[in-house]
Amino acid sequence: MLKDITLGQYFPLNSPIHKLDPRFKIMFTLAFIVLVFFADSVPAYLGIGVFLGFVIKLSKIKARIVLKSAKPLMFIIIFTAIINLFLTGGDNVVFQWKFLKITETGIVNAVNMALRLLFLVMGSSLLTYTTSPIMLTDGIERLLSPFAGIGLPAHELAMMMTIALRFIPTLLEETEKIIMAQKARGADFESGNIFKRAKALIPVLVPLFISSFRRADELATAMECRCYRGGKNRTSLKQLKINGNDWIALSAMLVFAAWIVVCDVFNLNIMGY
Amino acid sequence: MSITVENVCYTYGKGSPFEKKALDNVSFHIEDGDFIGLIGHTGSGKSTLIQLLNGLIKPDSGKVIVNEYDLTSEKIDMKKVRSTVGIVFQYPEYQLFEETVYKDIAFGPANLGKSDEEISAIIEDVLPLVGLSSDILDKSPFELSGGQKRRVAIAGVLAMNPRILILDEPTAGLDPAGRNDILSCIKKLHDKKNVTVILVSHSMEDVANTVNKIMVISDANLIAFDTVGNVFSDSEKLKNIGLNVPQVTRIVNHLRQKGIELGSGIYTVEAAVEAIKKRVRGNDIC
Ligand SMILES: Nc1ncnc2c1ncn2[C@@H]1O[C@H](COP(=O)(O)OP(=O)(O)O)[C@@H](O)[C@H]1O
Ligand SMILES: [Mg+2]
Repeated sequence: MLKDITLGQYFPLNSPIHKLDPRFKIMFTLAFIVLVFFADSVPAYLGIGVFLGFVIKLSKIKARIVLKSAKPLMFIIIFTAIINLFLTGGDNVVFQWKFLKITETGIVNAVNMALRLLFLVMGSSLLTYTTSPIMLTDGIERLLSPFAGIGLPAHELAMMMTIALRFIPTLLEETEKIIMAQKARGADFESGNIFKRAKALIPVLVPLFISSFRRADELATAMECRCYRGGKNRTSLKQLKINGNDWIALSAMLVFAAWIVVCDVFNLNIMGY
Repeated sequence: MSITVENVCYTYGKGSPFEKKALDNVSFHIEDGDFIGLIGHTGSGKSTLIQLLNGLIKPDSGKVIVNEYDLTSEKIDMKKVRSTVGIVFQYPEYQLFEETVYKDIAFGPANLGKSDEEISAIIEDVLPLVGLSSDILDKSPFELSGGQKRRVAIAGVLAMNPRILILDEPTAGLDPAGRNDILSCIKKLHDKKNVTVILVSHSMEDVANTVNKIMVISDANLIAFDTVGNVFSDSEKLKNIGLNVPQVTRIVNHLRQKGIELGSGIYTVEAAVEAIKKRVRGNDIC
């Protein structure tokens, strides 16, 4: 089911992670992504795993749901791993069959890439799972506002993101409804070769496009009716305030970053990995 | 074409934080040729129930049997089911996609493997049923009015010649004239072709004017399934679940409290007019 795609979804729960300041959370996520790409040893990955597990636990979101967030990207992850597995050179050949050659470096690279991508998706999913779209864009807007001076339309960008995020579930729901309606008219999405299946999607895509334009139009009208005029002099209903928990989270993040850097700099490893 | 539903449960988003029980142990039996009104509040599970009736979704537990087809079994030929049970979804005009009205109505029968000649005969049959003339066939469905679009969409389902027709709030968002047109089309279809019809609605007036039996669903449970008279006679029960009897019936009940008895079993404006006329003639108080 399309509903299983949870990427970009928000789970409204009451947890310390949900309550963190979105600016901190966004910066943490960016830092996390960078750190994940520094990791290349077992101790570093263990560190990431423990840190992520800890955050998931605190966020009260079921670990299964966070794991599932990687599902839509599984293809890319596996593809990247396979490319790395076969196309990495090296001397220590583990397996060879005709021109296909797997080297030890290849295996290490494949595992590295797969783990990094997996952690990356899970980490960034956690951000959207625990931050409402409003808070998220509020945070982005505030983080970008220093650049407004050099002509960056911070508010407009944030508004565009809010709207895009807001409409992901709506469009998924709509898609599902249209699929149902066309199925009820005997449409068959499950059999035939790839071209037949692609063609079977036309009865879904056309109504979907039309309704997206209609929605965009209605939304624009509704915004105009309420005198929306962009970001100038707008204040928010909920002012972002930094409190004690945010500083605690920052300390945790710093400890985590330090561990990854230490692993990297001192080449900490377990049996050479 | 009877429909039997036995102990059906259905839950959305099982295991997620958004888990929602949409149907809870629902059982009923619908006879061939029945004209059923399915009423209930928004979110009570009406749309879920009708999607079960042609296998678009499978129940978590329980059985759905349409005619001889057991929709819960794996081996069932879905094409047969879809051609037996036609569903007109809520706002069906949003599913139109073809370049011309003709092609759009032809989509269903073409999926069932009908030939071009058969299809053009079917379309000729179906158009008058929904009150459309053949000069719109070459138009784009997107340049029609809202009411016309809806008729085209309904025609698209009728073109599959279903023996059971289910309509999910077919009058939602239409003006009163459009509403009456659509309802009388459906009634005609039922009377002429003896199609079993399930009409989903939350308008008591729509239902009172057209159907024979009413199914009331509230918060995932089937509350009542009886004749129009029996369901509307228990206005307390309906009120408890946030529904109401038709407006005229309410007026008749108020008049009764004030000591003016018009009789029971008045659910339509026409019946009320008759009753008032009779009473006025009987003891000319006016
Ligand atoms: N695709 C879906 N995913 C999750 N929940 C749903 C979905 N469709 C309906 N629901 C929920 O199930 C309940 C019953 O919905 P529905 O059958 O559409 O009610 P009705 O048609 O009577 O308004 C509602 O609470 C609704 O929010
Ligand atoms: Mg509904």
